[in-house]
Amino acid sequence: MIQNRLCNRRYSWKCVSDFGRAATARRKIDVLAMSWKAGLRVAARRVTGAFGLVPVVLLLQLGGCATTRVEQSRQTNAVLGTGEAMVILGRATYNDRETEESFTDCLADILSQGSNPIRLVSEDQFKDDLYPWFEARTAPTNANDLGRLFAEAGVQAQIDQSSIRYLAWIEGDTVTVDKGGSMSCAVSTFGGGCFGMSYWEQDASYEASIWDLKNLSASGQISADSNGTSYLAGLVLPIPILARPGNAACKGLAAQLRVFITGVDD
Amino acid sequence: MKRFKINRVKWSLRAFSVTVLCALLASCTHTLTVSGRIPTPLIEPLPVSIGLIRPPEFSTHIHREKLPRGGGDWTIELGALQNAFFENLFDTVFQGVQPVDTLGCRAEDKSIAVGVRCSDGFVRLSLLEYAFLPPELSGLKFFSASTKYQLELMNADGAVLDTWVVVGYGKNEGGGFQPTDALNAASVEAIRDAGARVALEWPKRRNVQTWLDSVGVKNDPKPIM
Repeated sequence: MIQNRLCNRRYSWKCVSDFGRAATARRKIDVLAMSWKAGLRVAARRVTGAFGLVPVVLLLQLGGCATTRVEQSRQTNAVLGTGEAMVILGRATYNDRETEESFTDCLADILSQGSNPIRLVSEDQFKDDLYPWFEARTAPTNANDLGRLFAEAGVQAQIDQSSIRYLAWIEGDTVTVDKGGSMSCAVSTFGGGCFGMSYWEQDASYEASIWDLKNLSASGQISADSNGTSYLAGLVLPIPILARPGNAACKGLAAQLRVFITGVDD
Repeated sequence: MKRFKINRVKWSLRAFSVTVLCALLASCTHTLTVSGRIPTPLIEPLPVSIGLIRPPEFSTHIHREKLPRGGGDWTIELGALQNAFFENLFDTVFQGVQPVDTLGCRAEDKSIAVGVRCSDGFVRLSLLEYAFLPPELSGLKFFSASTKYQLELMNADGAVLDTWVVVGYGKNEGGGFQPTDALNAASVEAIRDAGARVALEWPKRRNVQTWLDSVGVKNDPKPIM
């Protein structure tokens, strides 16, 4: 039996000032939350064991849901001025986990659109213009290095020319934390199809560190954590029910980043 | 009529099978000409002139490899991009760069180029090794590539002052359907990484500093971030 509830459609964030005063604000925004995960897992196991049509049909009525939590810590109150731009950079590492290019692309797409678009300099353009100072090996690791970097010939002039005020370093990734169920597909001369069900739970965790290139200091951090379970139901045709926590984290982070940078919600 | 129909179906199936087989075989052979943007380094050039020596195969280097466990045959043309990249890099790192084939500053060279002073030194740049790893073999989510270059510094008389081997590394998320795109991006990143090290680390090497001092350049090395 499937026990499910509708998605709560809410997430929250917490603002912490640099003076140690924790001002907590919770707002309801259009990001889905899920609490019927366990129920669906039971259903997945049942369907895998003895295929039943009703649970699958019920599942198809639902969409994949993800819970997103966004937190912000702010050190300065400066906002983007007229004509000033921002650049979003994915932090590159030499280990096996790295911020996906698709995530920074998603952020850039959202921030450059809407009723309150932010002027963005593309990551490729920025890295080319400032080569070799922002390669994986040479990029500054904290805002304290900015002073030394800006003392290098041409760096300050290049930043001024592009009118880049803020730099947002994005760190984090999406990982699969759990998976189960099974599905098999077969093709024969009489046709084919897929039967069974599988699920996988993903956890997306990202953090944006915002640096002010005018004051050569760190402005704050925003983190977004999202969790969701996706399902693949095989009812002759494989039918995916995707939660897309990475996308939910992107939307949550982009919304908060916009408020942080411009001081205005979209 | 019925027999004709059966034959037609049979031949259609055969044609389909052959097409699928050809597609599978083609998917096991990958050819890539590495291409990408060539950035101009934002650095202050060293006020010296050098003769840049590259072996002929540097600009035409092709890496061929047959990967184990069904990884396929790979042909990667690296030469054109790395040649253009390092030409541009050295043009910025040094105030004067002259591509040359031979060492030393001979008397006849001076007579040919009247008024043009000999180089302060020579740099021989060669690719020692290029390697790559697809996700199927590494077990990771991305393609990785590395380039190993050797820089040999010689004075105006051709005496070797310094030999430095530099490795550049790059990686890119391997899209299952665009393996060549991912490897291209990883290879470009590896060349850029090596280039960044050449631009920032090489001038700070002790032997290079000594050479710069000997040709009258006051160079104040700054720490690398």
